[in-house]
Amino acid sequence: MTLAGVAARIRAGELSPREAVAEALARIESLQGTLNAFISVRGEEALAEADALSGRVGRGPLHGVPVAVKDVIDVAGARTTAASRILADNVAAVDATVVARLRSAGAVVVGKLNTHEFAWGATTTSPHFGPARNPWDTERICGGSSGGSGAAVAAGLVPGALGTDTAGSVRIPACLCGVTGVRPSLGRVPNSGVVPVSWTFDAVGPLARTAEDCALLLQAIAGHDVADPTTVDAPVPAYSELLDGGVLGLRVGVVSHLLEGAIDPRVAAAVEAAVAELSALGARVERVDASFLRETEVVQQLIMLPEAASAHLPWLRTRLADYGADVRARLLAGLLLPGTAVVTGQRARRRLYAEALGLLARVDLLVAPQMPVVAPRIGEDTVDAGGATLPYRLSLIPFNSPWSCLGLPVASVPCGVVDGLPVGMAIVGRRLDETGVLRAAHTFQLASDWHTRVPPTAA
Amino acid sequence: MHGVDPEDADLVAVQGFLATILPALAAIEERHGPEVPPAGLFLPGPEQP
Repeated sequence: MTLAGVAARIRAGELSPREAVAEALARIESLQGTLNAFISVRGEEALAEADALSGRVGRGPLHGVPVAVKDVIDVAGARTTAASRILADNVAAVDATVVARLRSAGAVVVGKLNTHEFAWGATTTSPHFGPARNPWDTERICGGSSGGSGAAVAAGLVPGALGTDTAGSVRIPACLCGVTGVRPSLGRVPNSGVVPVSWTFDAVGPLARTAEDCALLLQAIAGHDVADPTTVDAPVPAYSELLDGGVLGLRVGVVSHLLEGAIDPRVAAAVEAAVAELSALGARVERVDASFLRETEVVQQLIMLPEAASAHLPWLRTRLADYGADVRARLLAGLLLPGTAVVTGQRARRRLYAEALGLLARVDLLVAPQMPVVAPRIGEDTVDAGGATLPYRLSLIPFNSPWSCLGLPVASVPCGVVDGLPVGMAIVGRRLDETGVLRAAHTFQLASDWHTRVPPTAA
Repeated sequence: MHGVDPEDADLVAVQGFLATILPALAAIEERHGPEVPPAGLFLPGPEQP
């Protein structure tokens, strides 16, 4: 059931908060051994919080709805491990701002979700907590770094979850698990109480079955936060009330270079079909040359690597051996880049953003494939994409870094199936125009059923 | 590294990263004259990334 559906049933008195939370806990218990989506579960605490909500009417739009958050987001009294050995016993004293806001909206946090170690990687195969498994094929990864979030929503363990996205970490698992995920604009959602990867790019975002569900979650968590100087002091639109309106006359630019080259042609065909659907719904679709975006692939690395190394410096000095090999290598690379890397990266970023503004003056939205391939098998380091064999971790960068680097809002929506595995389309908007992104995603989902498909594990 | 020595495998992995990134950094440096200032980090607004 969708998050909006659960919330509506609770509002109508057909389901109590305790029943909703107990049902989620039962599903988690039955599938945790198969999926390893959770790092910790707040069973008794969540039931007690649900009981406290029972009998009260309409604490908020998420009254009594069970949700889960990636285990880099603090929940008071619970461990925040970041799927790391270093933080294995780290208990949060207070809620992250986004968790406090979820609670204010009435949601009940039932647990903390598996992630790539320190949210820095796209496989969610922590050497310390084990891999999260894809509900569509448990021999495959669920993407990352918010892999547990994608798996939990796809398998119906919870109707909604929060992830974090530095370079694709909400969108990648949303795509590979066949659910909807939104990376909001930089500054739209507070990061206070969240373990950082890279302050310049980090963004908390929702994963759920539908764009309508994501709108409900985003509504709850968005907005300025005095505790986070990177947040924008701008009004938050009523996303849920602005979903209708369709795409008639909307100018949609198809990022043509991402449909060619290193992409599985069957994935590209599924995205082309989705674009044709948007056109049939009335959008004015045109292919655009956005090849300047390729530079963002390196620019993001120039800034992200040293920032992450800076965030981890105390542990790099004392706990180096406690990192997994992949994260350790990235952090060491960040230490060794010259100081000019970040400044040069930020200078290039300013120019690239200006070019993107020009492009987004000619079109209202951009669309592109979310990923070049379907979910690889666990342990499979390379993928075949458009006749090229290349490392999985490199294959995804051209599809994810542009929007992270430029701070633009982007949704990943299910748009097809290849080899029985989900394919996703990225819908990108102007800065702070989450409304436009969500409306286009919602319109597409009203006309398609890819987001309603249920993986075998959840059936 | 305060008593912690990276293993050889770590150094090989790091070398791989840097071998890709440093030439790309040099190319980007060449493309940007001094008239291009850096983007802001903590000064977010609609006009900035």
